Amino acid sequence: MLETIRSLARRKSPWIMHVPCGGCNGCDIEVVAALTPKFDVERFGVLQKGSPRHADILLVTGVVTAQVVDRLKRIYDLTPNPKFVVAFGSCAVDGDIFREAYGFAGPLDKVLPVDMYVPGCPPRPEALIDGLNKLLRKL
Amino acid sequence: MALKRHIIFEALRSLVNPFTTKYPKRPYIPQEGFRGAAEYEGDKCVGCGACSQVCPTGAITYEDSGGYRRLRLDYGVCSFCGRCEETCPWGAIYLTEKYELAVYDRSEAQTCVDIPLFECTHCGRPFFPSSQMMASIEKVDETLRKYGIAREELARLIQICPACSFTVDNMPERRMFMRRLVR
Repeated sequence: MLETIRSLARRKSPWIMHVPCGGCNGCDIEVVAALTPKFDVERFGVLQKGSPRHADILLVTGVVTAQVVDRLKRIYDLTPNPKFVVAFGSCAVDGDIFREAYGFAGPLDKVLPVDMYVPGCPPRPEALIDGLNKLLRKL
Repeated sequence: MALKRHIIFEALRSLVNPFTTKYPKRPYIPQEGFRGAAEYEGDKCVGCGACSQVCPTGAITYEDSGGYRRLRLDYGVCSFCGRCEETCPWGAIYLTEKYELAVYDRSEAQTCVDIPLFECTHCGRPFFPSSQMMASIEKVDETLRKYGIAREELARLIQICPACSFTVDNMPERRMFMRRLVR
């Protein structure tokens, strides 16, 4: 009974924390655009939170650089269970144009377990909504 | 006062006609020129690999195995620039308006096309996409007519794989052919 309520609550209010790792900021702009009244992800209960302790979903954008790996792991550890990681944009999914760069520390799934991949350079805000919908359907 | 009236008017208008998109219920139609995921057209592609050469991120790769050349486009690496569409001489790869590419597994975010390879007439080893061979002979058809060379003659020469063509049996024939061209 309690478990059902919990999963329902989880599905109705997935709070996200946006983790920009590095890269060109194109994806970050699309994430912020998805929070504006035009696309309004708050319709699905999605709230942007500033602290990983309040978040359910880590939304990682940009290339995972050697500098950010340790911090990314720390942020992941701070997030309470159950937690989900979304790789947003081609950079986070597989490295894109920075794949052979010296500071590139592997695609995101080498560092964290990833639940959802949203390729695109940058993906549309609609692609984020689609990705979140598919992720919530899996819960 | 004038400003307040404007705000009230705006609020009433958006009450009737909301500004927010109705995306998941109603599909979003991209604007013209939107660069979505690229896709192959299987029967037009000849497997020349020109797209993989110009791809700036190296998203398009190909490998020959089991008598087929498999061209693979990885959406996770793709930057949706459209160079492949510009370069393809056969119009076989083009950007669609697809943007819903979210997947649970990274290996699903890709598209493939298989092109059968031609087998060498001497050793029987597959070495070259057969449709590319047909297309390239078609391209030089006019030049062949100018030199008075039959199509079959050239076809017989290029149907031999590089390893076989420089053997003692085949060299004289090739040399004679080259001499006719530089005459």
